[in-house]
Amino acid sequence: MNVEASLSEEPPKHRHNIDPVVAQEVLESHVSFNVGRMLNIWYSLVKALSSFHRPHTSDSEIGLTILGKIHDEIRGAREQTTPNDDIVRYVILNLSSNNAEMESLNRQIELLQKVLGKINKHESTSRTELLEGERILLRILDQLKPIARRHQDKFTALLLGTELTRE
Amino acid sequence: MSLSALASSAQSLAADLHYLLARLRRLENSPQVRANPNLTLYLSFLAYFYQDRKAQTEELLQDTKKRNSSPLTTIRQKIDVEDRAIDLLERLVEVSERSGDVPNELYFVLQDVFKSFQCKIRFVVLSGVSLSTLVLEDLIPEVAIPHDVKAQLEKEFFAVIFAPPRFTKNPEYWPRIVHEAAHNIDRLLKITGNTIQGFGKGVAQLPLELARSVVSLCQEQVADLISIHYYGPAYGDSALLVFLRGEPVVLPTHPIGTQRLLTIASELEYMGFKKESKDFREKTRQLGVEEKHRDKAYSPPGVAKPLQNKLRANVRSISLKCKSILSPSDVASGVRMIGKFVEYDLTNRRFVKLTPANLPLRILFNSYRPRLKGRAQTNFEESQEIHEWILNSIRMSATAESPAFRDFYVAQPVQIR
Repeated sequence: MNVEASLSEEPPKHRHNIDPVVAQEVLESHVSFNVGRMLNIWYSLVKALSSFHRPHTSDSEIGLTILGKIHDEIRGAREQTTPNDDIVRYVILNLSSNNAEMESLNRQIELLQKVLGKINKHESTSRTELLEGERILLRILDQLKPIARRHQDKFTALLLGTELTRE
Repeated sequence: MSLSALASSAQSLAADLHYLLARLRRLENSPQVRANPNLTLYLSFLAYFYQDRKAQTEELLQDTKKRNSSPLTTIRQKIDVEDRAIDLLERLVEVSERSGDVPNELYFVLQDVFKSFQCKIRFVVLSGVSLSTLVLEDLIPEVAIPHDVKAQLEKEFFAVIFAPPRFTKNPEYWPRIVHEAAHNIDRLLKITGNTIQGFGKGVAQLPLELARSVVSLCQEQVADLISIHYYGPAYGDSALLVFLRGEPVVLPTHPIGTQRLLTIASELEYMGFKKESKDFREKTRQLGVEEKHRDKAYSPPGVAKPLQNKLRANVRSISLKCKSILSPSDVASGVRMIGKFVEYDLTNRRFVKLTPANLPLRILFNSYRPRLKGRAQTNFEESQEIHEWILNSIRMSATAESPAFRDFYVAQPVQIR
């Protein structure tokens, strides 16, 4: 089945057929080829998690940077604007399959930004806030891990010619 | 999950890193790297990645010893991501080890293209499975690169080009590798980006996967147009060779089937290579019914005509501005000039003269075939002789150009400790 995708300066005058299966494959390959950017998101979120117990490092700043990008891309996804960072947008769409989940993810990211912001400024944070922040980050990381691993494996198979040796 | 299990996992990560350091050191001291500032620079980026991993692994070991600093769940998350980062680093070191025999002459060919489009781009060619390219930040996580180097990279980026060894070893494939360089020119000059912006409303309405398809296909068209403008018929010949090896089908981000070849034929006609365009169309036609069936079976995607036309107009305008469009008269004068250097004795079926020529590289690639008019290269030995002659001629041109290599360094290479 083909999807009618409008594509013009004044949509929807000109239309074109793009096979959704091929399109999905194109996107998946694009993400795999940007393995460094995918790993960067994973790494930055782990740094954010780490900063809950090691506040006197630059980890919270790295965490805040990635959370800011995620927050902006959630807004972009809801307003249907062109992505600023298509890998972050891809991650968001994989973490939330509908509007309600995206709304919930947005609230969680805002909470994390608040807690990490306090850590970054060495302000006091309540134990409840810290525990809630940690719980959210661990849940996001558990969802993100298999996605990032899949793309890294695909990258190594497609470009580096190394057989997939991992689970 | 126990503390001792995590501690041994962290220990094994530290050991993996230790072995990687030895491999990085060996690479750094290899003659190929010493002869190529691009490779030295690339290794310095791997060293940044290595040093970042080293610091993180040491931190992990400390965390596992001091149970009170981080809970086990956090340490486990850190080990998981660190394990993956080290795995990527190891594979990048492995591919760098395999890439030592990429000829420096290929670097000169690609450097020449960047220079023509006035693009300051540093790059490295690595032995990969498919023809592809990406920028360094897409390969190495941003957090591993120091801030000052990152700032430099934003001004002048570093491209990583992957090409299978069978393509890097044979100069007849090199004009096709120019296509990968062209992707980086597009990225730097924002040709696709700016063109698509004019169609922003349409693209923004598309789901992410469809938008990506559109962008990807536009990027392929732009890279083909840049390459054909600069390398003319030699790009067409090389693209056809790669096509026959089945390369474009590997990646779904590319136009499938004969579509790309027809774009090349049509642009050759615009450039005034009427005969070459006609011949190229004929060759494409001769690929036969099988290829056409494949085109149909894959239902090749494309982009809307107005966007395609705008892309073509924008690339033509940039190529014209940079005076990068090869003309039939350039090739004709090259064919005449090359007569002084290349002579083939048809009776005895051997080269009488095969003297290296200091010619612009794209003229070199476009002139020897018309000069020989199919007389030579009927056997493997003659092809080998021609390849050697191309390499020697590139060496001759490159020697005159070598001062350009002085500007390659973005920062002092990192000392690997």
